[in-house]
Amino acid sequence: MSDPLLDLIARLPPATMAPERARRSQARCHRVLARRATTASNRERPLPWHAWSRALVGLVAVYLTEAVRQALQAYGAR
Amino acid sequence: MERETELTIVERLRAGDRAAFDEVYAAFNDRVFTFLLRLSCRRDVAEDLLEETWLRLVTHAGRLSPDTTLGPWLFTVARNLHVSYLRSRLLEDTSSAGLVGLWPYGAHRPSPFEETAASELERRVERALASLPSGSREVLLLVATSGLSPTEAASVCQISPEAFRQRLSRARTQLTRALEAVPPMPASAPFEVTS
Repeated sequence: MSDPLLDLIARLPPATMAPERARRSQARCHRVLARRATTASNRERPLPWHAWSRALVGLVAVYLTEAVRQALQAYGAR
Repeated sequence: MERETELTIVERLRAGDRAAFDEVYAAFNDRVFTFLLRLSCRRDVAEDLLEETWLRLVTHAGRLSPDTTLGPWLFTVARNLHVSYLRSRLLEDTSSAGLVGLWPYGAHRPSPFEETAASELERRVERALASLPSGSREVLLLVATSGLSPTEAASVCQISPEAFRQRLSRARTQLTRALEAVPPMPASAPFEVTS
């Protein structure tokens, strides 16, 4: 550094965090990262088969109900 | 940190890689801590703000831009947290006893560094630095100790490079005056413990 004034500041001794506090701080961040990873993997995991089958049963039920309703409407009108 | 390495680390951080976080932590922890400690003049405050800085990084890791430059990112967060801290302190002080004269760090308050500074000159520089307004102190520290380029340092302060240059020039003048005003002290002089 060519600036003598800034050089004075640059040469001041650096500081370090208390080791115990640094460890706690780092561990806290690790926990946050782990939590994020768990949430992300839960979000990416495909729906289990029973969830799909329930949805399929639901759709079929809606389809059949509608089909019966329309059939009744058509034949009932005659 | 090489730019290529940094980009890889950012990518890994975005994926939530713990080892990548540890690498960033090892590279920047002391530098950001020194910056915050000299800025706040209080160890407990610097430790709290630094922890919050790291928490912000891990919380926002997934949303980091792939070309993030970690140094400026960390120093910006640290600096903003310190500004928020000063504002909250000022509010507390204002509500308790009025604004004037209660700026958190008066010229008479020695920094923790002063207690351990090896030489008379270091002690004087520490005292002079601690006596400056926070805005001046931060530009001097960013340029002299953070390892950031002047443009990056300006972005940390969220001002243009030209405005940063002017602020730096003003801060240099203030520091020169402060150094002249700080009387030489005997090495064994007792200091008030602030942390």
